[in-house]
Order: sequence, then C-alpha cells, then structure tokens
Amino acid sequence: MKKKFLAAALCAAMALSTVTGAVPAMAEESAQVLKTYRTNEPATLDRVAPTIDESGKYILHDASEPMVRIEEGKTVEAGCESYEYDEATMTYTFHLRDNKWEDGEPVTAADYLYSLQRMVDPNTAYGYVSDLYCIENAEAINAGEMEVSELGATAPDDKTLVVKLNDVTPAFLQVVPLYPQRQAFVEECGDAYGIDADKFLSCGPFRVTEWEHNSYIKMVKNENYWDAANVKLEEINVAFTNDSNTLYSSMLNGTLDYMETSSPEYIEQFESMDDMVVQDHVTPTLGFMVFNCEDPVMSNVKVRQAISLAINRELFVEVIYNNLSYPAYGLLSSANSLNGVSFRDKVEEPLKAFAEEHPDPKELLVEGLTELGMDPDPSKLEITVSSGSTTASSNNAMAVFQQCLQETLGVTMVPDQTEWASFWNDCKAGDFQIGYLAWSGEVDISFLFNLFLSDSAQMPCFYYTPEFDEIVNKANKSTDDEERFSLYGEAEKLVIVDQCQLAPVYYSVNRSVLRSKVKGWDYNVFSTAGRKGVYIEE
Amino acid sequence: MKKYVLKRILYMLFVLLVVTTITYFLMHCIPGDPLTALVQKLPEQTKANYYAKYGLDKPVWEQFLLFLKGIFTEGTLGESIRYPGRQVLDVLKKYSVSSGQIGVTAVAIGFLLGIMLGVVSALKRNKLPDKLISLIAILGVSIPVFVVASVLQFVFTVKIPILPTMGWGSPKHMVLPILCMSLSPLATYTRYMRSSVLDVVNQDYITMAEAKGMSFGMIVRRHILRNSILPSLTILGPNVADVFCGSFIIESIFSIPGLGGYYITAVTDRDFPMIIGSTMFYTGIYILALLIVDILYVVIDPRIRLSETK
Repeated sequence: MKKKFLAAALCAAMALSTVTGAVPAMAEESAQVLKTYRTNEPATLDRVAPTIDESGKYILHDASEPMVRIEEGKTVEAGCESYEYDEATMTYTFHLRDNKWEDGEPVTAADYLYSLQRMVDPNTAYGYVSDLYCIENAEAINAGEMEVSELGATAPDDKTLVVKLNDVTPAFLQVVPLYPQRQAFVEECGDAYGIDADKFLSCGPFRVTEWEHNSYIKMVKNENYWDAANVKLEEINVAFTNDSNTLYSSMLNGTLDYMETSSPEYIEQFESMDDMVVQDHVTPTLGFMVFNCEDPVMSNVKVRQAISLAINRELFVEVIYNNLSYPAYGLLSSANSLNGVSFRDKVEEPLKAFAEEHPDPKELLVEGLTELGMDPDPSKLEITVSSGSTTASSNNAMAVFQQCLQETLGVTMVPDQTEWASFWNDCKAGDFQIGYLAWSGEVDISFLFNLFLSDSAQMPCFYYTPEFDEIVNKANKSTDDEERFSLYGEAEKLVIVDQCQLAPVYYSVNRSVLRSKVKGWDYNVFSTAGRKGVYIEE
Repeated sequence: MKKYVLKRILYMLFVLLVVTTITYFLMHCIPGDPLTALVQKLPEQTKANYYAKYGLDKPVWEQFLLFLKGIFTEGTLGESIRYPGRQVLDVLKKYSVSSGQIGVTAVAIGFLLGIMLGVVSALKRNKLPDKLISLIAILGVSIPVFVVASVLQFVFTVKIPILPTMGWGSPKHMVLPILCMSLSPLATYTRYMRSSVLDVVNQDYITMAEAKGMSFGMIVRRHILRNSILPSLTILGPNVADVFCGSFIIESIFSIPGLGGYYITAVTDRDFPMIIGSTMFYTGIYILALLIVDILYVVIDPRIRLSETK
C-alpha cells in the first residue's frame, strides 16, 4: 500500500506542470477584426533597440505614431500636423498634433526627442545609428566624444521639435525613425522596455493589449488616438507561425485574412476562389553572390565578371522559385523609386549590356587567370561558394550554381553551407571566396549603395574605391531627382560590372493572398501606413 | 533508501556542473557571437559598450566564474542577449509550462495506451488485433510528426472545422498538438511492451500461476504487467525530460508559446545565456527523471535493490 502511494506520488510529481491554470481565451468575434500573421515574433517593440526587427517595426506601425508616415510612396504628416525644412540652416521643424498615449497623457516633443537621443547614445547600440549621422553632433556622441544632450535636436516647447542637420540629406524623413518614447516609462522598465504588452506604451491607432510570446499579439483600437474617428478596425490579431500548411489551412477556415506564399498549388486554388485576391509585388530584396576581392583568385575583376555572367538567372528563378522572383541584372529592383518614379524605369540593368558584349564568359575567365599568372585551364580551377543557410532551397540554389559554373566555365564549384552566424562571422573576417546571401533594400534608394562605401564597408567585398564613394556621396546629397538617378546608375554599373564586387542573382517577389472583404490594404513594401486605413467590408 | 536518494542528488549536482562547464566552453568555441549574428556592422565604440554590457569583453573563464557567481549569489541565469530584458530563468519557467502541459499529457496518453496496446498485441500474437496494432505502431514511428500534424490540422480545422488551427489559451487549442505528440510515444511503448510481454508469457511462473487456477485478468495484472513494464519505464524518463523542453516543430506549426523555439534560436542567435540556461534546464530535468525512474523500478520490482543496505 505504502509503495503504491509512493508510486502515485512520483507519477504525480512528473505530471506536476500540467495542473497549472489555463490562460484566458481569445476574444469573441466582431466584424471589424483583422487576422494576420508574422513568420516570427518581434524581438522587441523598442524601436531603437539593437534587436529591432521587421516584425517589431510592423507592430509599431500600428501601435505607435511616427512623426511622418510613408503612404503609397508619399510622405504624409502623422505625429506632426505640419513640418517645414529651412534650406539655409538645414533645419527641420515639426509641429506636433494633440496626440495622447494610451493612458491619456499627451504625446510631447520631448518624447520624440528622447528616442532620438537614445538612438545616438553609444550605450544603446542601435544598429543603424549611422543613418542618424546627418544630425548635428550625432556621430561625435555615438563615438563617446560628446554628451547625448548636445545632439542637434531640441524641443523648445511641448509641441515643437527642431532637428538640425549637418549636411543636405534628402532622405532624412525616410531613414531616420522618429518614434516617440516616454522617458519616465522607458526608464521605469529598464532593459525590459518593449518586451511585453505591459512593458510597452502605445500611442498609435491601436494599442497592444496581449502578447503571448511565440504565439500571438493582440491589438485593439486606441480611443485616445488623435485620428480615432477614422480608424475602422476594432481589433488586430497577429499570429506567429511560419508553417506553410498552417497558413494555408488558416486561410481556408478563416483563422487568417492574409498570407504570403510561393507554393504554386496553393496559388492555383486561391485564384479560383471568389473571396480571395492574389497579388504579386516585387520587394527590394536582392539575392546575390558577393566576391571576396582579397582572395587570390577573386582579386581579378575578369574572373569575377566571368563568374557573374556564368550564372543562368532565368534558370535559377525557374528552378528555385517557380518563377516567383525575377532574374536580377542590377542592384536595385523595381520596388525602389524616387518620388513615385521607379529607378528601373530610368536606368537599364547594367549587367544586361555587359552580357551582350561578352557572349562567352569563359574567355574572360581565361584572360583573368592568365593575368593572375595561374594555369589558364578552367578545369583545374576550384572555387568555393559559401552560404549561411542549410535549407533545401539553399541546397538547390547551390546545385544550380554548380551546374552553371561547370557548364559555362568548366570550373569545379564546391558548396560550403553552414548556419548563418558562422557564415556571417567568416564573411566579416574575410575568410571566404564567394558568399551567397540576400540583403533587403530600404525605402531610401541609397541604402544598398551605402553598403559599399569605404567608410561604412558593410558589404564584405573588401574592395572599396574612392571613385565609387565620390559618386554615391554626391548622389546622396543631390536634391535633383534626375541627377540622382543618373549618379546611382553610374554607381550601380561600378558595383555590378566595372568593379564587379557583387553578382546579382534574383529580385525577391512577395505573393500574397488577401480575403477580398478586407479593404484599404497598402501593398507597397515600403509603406509605414500600418493597418490604420484597413477595414472589413460587411 | 533516503541515503541512496541523497547520494544520487549529490551526483546529479555534479553531473549538472560538468555538463554546464563543458557546454559553456563549447559554445564559446563556435565561431560568432551575439553581435555577429546581427547583420549590421556597428561602430567600434558601440560594439565595445555592447560587449562590456554583457561581459563578453572578459576572458571566457572569467565570464564562466561570473556566471557561476550569479547562480549562487543571486540565483539568476542571466539575461537573454537576443531578447534584452528577458531573464533566462523567467523564460524557462514561463514557457516550460505550456510545453510541459502538452508534452506530459501526450506522453501520459502515449504511455498508458501504448502499454495497453502492447499487452493486447502480445497476447493476441499473430491474430488480427496484433496485426492492426503493429500497423499503427509502425505508422506511428515512421511518419514524421509534421506530416501527421499537417494532415490532422487540415482534417479537423478545414474539412471538419471543430478545432482551432493555431493559437493558445483554451483546452481546444491543446487537442491537436497533444494528439500529434502522443503518436510517437504510443508507437514506441507499444513495440517495447509487445516484445517484453512475449518474453514474460513464456516464463515458468506464468504457467505456475495458470496451474494455480489464477484468473486471466489477475495473471495479466499481477505477473505479466509488472514483469514486462520495466523496459518501457526505462525510456519514460528521458521521454518526459524531452517534452518539457518542447517540440520545435509542433510548437511552430500550432503557434504554441513553448520552449521549443528558444532552444533552436538561442543557438543560431548565439544567445549565450539562453543556450547555457536551456541546457542546464534540460540536463536537470533529464537526470531528475532518471532518478524518479530508478525509484519506480524498486516499487514495481522489489527484486531490484537500490543500495546495499541490509
């Protein structure tokens, strides 16, 4: 008997965790509810944390109120009623609206100023801090040479924010995130700011009410929002999942109103359904090979050009992406534009003309090898392509490259696949020959170009030239769109063809399925409009 | 008995320390750190501040000592680097609950049903029930769990929409994950049980019991079950330890706020405190489960002696 009791007690101990209470259930259905998803949960909702990711920004578009938003490609006032820019003093002056935090306190200019100061504070370790170097003293503060309070931004009163730039920066409003953060609240939360629903303060069209980590975030309409009268949705549920079958089932049974997919079978089915809208939109993400120009073999530009030309991009997108992505012959996809004019409408992709001039890339390779003083027989050459992904898709991509390089150039290609952190560590250290990866562009057209500037040197190609720096710096400061197009065009040709630090492979495309009763959806990949204008048609 | 348990607990602490030490130094051997896992290249000053904040600027052995000090003096496992502000201990405490709820229920169902099916299968050897059960068992071990999950999800949320597709909060959300997760243990226990029952039924003491005129039910309960359950019990310990740590696949398919994802992402993000914390947690639960199983052995089979006490 005693033993039986002991056995029971031990079993009970093992099952202990099951008896903890259940969590409250999800809210009841209401008509104005949007059900969407993200593939991963935000690391944080702190806009200036080094770990801020796309999911975090996505939630912030709804739960916070940036100074301006980008809606359908245009900059519109959001947190401010109006703003002016004084060319002589290079100063932006923002006049704030009467907006309130979810707890009823007014949103003040000091809140916007505080987040700016946190961003340049070296202790914050904000990743894109160099975007803020256009603000007076920002660089010196980040280097620890000046105090945070000396930043060239002030809040003369509760409703005015003044930001003084140290150089002409046409992209200022697009690249500098102006999101308010209340100092007292942030300090009270400490490091935990932005990691839970109760550790975050909303002031946008919606407020975050529940955050079950790795499961979902729930937002409800914020009645304290300045434009609450025009917000129609009552609730947004953002689920976190990256399983394509789950997404598919969820679209069919109404658990989700939106999904992105690349599976042709799913698309075929959704296209045949009346209540679904299928849309393709090209993203600013570029898949490419980056050459380590310090590598003995890759140091020769002709070798690099030959490899770039050897890739059959049409074959690649067909085999790897079922044609859902476009072959890339340039740095920027058609998603990038200046004031509504697409870059690709103005500038031809530079690699196309070059490919026509050199129908046989093998000749280039042989020339290059001879210049290097190596054996000009390509079949004796072995090159290694590294990748930071070990997925099936990445394996296939490597196989396509192998085939292209073998058939066109006759060289042997060795794939080297590791997981991301190891790969990226090797790349930064220059311990690779060719790296295959993807990088997402930003709304600011200069973003991908800036990666190749010698003072930032973000792209591990180990070959940065003053010629390129000069063109890009000039373009970045120009206010004439035509001139910018042509300068960026020159810079693109340098990176892709003349210096060939990079071989573009594909432009990524999103294919989305949206329930047709959901209206007001902004498909623009750069939109920061959030779900403010979305509603459900009844 | 008391002495034995005490001794075992001391051993456990030792094992935990060894595993922690080895893991700590191993994880610092892999290339990359939490900063390299982030894409952006930070200015030098910022980088230095970041390393200093998490103590990554110190030599590894000093970091390790500080880490041990943190455990003993403050009872903390440190703060996640990838998710600043999240205490590793809090993450483990919070998410092992949901993982455990699903996992323990699944293993319990798998264990109980598996034992039953295994006995039936062995007693009806080569008859129809045996063949059916064997089929289920083979399917259970051979079909990958994500396939089962996708099929069940499609059937019960789209074709017959009676269950939620994903999410967390109500008992309904737990049905499909539990079902998926119980299939593999069910199959395993069935197979183990079947072979050990087959072994036992041919023993002399079973013939003896029959000769005594004992009823069939009594023979099964008193003699067959007790003598054949030990192999299954051996794998129950590790099984239970596994489920507390969650299933990455199941949790991501059904959007369950469990520990599974943290194990994988901690390594890919080089989130050192999270890696070491989750390893310690897993090790702790694992050796604890082994101890419990060892004690259960004695309860079930009195012939086994834990210590040499007279």
